[in-house]
Amino acid sequence: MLVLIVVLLALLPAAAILYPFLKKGAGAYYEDEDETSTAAELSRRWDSAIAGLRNTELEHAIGSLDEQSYALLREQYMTEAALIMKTMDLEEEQEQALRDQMDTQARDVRSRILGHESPPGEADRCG
Amino acid sequence: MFVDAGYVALPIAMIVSGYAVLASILGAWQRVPALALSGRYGLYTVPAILAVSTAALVYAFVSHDFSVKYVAENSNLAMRPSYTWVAFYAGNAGSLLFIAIVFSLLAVGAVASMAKRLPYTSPYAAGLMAVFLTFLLGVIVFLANPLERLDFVPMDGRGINPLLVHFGMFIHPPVQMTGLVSVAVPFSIAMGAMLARRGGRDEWVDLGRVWGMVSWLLLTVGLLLGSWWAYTILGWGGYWAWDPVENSALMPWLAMTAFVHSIMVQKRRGMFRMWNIILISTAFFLAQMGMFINRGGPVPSVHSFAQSTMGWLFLAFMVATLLGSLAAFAWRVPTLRSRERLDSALSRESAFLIQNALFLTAAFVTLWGTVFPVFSEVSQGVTITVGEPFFNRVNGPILLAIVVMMGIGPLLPWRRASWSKAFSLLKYPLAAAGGLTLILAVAGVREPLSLLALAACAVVVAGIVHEWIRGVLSRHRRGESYPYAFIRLLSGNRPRYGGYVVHLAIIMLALGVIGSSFYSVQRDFTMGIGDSASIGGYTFKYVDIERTSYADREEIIAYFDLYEGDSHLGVVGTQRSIYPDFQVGATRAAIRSTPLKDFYIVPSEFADDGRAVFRVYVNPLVWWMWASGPVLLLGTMLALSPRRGPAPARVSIPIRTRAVRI
Repeated sequence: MLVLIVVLLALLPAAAILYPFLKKGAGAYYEDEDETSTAAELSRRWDSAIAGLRNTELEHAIGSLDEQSYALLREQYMTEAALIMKTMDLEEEQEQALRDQMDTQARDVRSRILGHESPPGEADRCG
Repeated sequence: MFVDAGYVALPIAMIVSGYAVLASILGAWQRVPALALSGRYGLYTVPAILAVSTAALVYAFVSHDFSVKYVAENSNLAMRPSYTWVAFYAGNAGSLLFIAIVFSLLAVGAVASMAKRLPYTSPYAAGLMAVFLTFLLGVIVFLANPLERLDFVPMDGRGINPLLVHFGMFIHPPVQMTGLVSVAVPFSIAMGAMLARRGGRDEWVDLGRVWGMVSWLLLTVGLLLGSWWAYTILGWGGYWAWDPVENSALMPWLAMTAFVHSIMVQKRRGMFRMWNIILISTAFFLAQMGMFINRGGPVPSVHSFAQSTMGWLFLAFMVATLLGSLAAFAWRVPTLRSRERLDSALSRESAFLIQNALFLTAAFVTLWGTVFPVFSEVSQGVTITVGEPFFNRVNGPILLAIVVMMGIGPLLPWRRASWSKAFSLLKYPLAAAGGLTLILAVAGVREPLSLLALAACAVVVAGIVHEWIRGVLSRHRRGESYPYAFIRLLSGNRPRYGGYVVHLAIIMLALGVIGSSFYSVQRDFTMGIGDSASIGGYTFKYVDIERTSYADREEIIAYFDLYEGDSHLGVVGTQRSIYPDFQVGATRAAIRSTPLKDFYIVPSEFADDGRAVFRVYVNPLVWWMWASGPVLLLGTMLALSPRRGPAPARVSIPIRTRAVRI
């Protein structure tokens, strides 16, 4: 009986370990950019600019940023995002789609704090 | 036979875990997906294998199988069946099995949560977690097997340690041990990202933060429960004695607290990448230091396991981990540099950095005080123990500064703030602090340090309340009722406001520390039945005594009528139990607790006529410490809970990657 239990105990991990080798196509990696590459650097800068924009909206919504600081910071992040889009040499439609998504993000942050959609025109400043 | 099956399961688990190390790391390194996946699946089976060993040990306890050495040493026939849970981890070997199965479950949960979100990082992280698990299992199999048999079968066991016979022991040790080992999870995620050459990207940060907070919560709850246990059962009227084992849990908590704050800066601004790797490595180093002390290291403590060579194994593993982390860090350091710089000393980032430095200073002061006896032994040949005054004097001001930063930091905006803006953000909290100080001074509070500490608490509370009021008013103007607006505000930004709830819980805890540190009253009374005495507004009359013999102990309970002024508050009973087999006496204080103050009474030895010396304390505000626990839990859950409703799509720059089968 003990032998049977031991065999069963050993069979469980053995089956799990062998399964990926027996199943065709188990596990796939994506060819990865080296993290020191230009594309990876641009991706990092882009994420940082978007995070900065979201933070700026948040801090403004809860009253930690006055209008002047808000406008300045927003301008800085938007310029950074525009520079990256230019460097990436994107199509016009792709750039427009990204701007729209950025607007949506900004509206989402504001509405979560203030409980309403931003007044018309305010969101346009995202683009 | 079941016990034997559990015995055999342990080396099987160790071998499978060892395989998971090799397959995961080699598979990722050599880009053989099936091998990496095989390692991951192998790791997934370890909890199931360990469950057999765990069930076997539980079965041995329940069936009083004293042929199992560990069962004979940690239970007896008189032990209540419910205490099987406590007996399981009452000794070194059982507690190791406990942390092994708990860590295997945490590792499986962490790897499963990473598999899709971090496909490059997860094999390395799985491999690193498996390294730690294999080490634990190796120690169990070769040095401390809880299912080892004796050559003979005793009629009865030795019994459970009397100090562990307390409700708190059902939760405190498991949560504390889980907290310590759980630090390995965010550490493995961070290190895995570096080894996968993804440390310079911030994609690991979300999961690192989540698992960091889980670990932080476990450590916090463990510390709180430990303090509560010490307060109610150790009978010295306090909850924290700077004992090495207490310190060993506090040190990683301090580092993890710094980490869960600092990781937010990386998430928000892409900064502090190197700093966060250093912080999580430090937290893991300190958690291992805790295990080293607990497992019989050379530092004297009233409640570590017996001194043994096992402690040195943990030390060796800690050193190896530290060297490995340093090597990985040195290898990847060029990619961890952030483009972003601190724009101003007056910004949220700077506040985080200062707070981090304070936390780490407190952690290293505590480490120094904890290991000082070892250094003094080596250098002077005399063991000099650093006591409570050292820790209070050095760490007290640091912790006060942390509370001040907790009030100021969240109010400052990211990047930069002008002095006038900072003042306008801080004016209400500072006014509240000033007002409170004035009221307290008029009310007769004269101790400058306590006034300062309470003012710092007021800054934190006022800052949070002010922000909430602003948010609620803004939503109310749009037509939402006040309660609804408050709930929607909190759920609108859960990480931020969950964090604020946690800050409020920490202030509740600080109130307890301030009250009991500055205004506690203590006196000894020699009393016989019928005697009365008074202290701190309470009058208590010794009315009766009850003696009961049990199979394992003699129990004496002294009853008192308790009055506050003329009002009768009820009857309280304080007890002392003698355990002949262990030759120890265990006391249980009688505590009458209110938000304002605790009446606390504990007996020494009783004479035959019931006469005894009773030590009585009146501890102000301690109630708030224990009340902070649920608030803290609630805040952390809020901060960790996913947002309701669909999130807007992540704005990703279209950098193309090709899917290839390798």
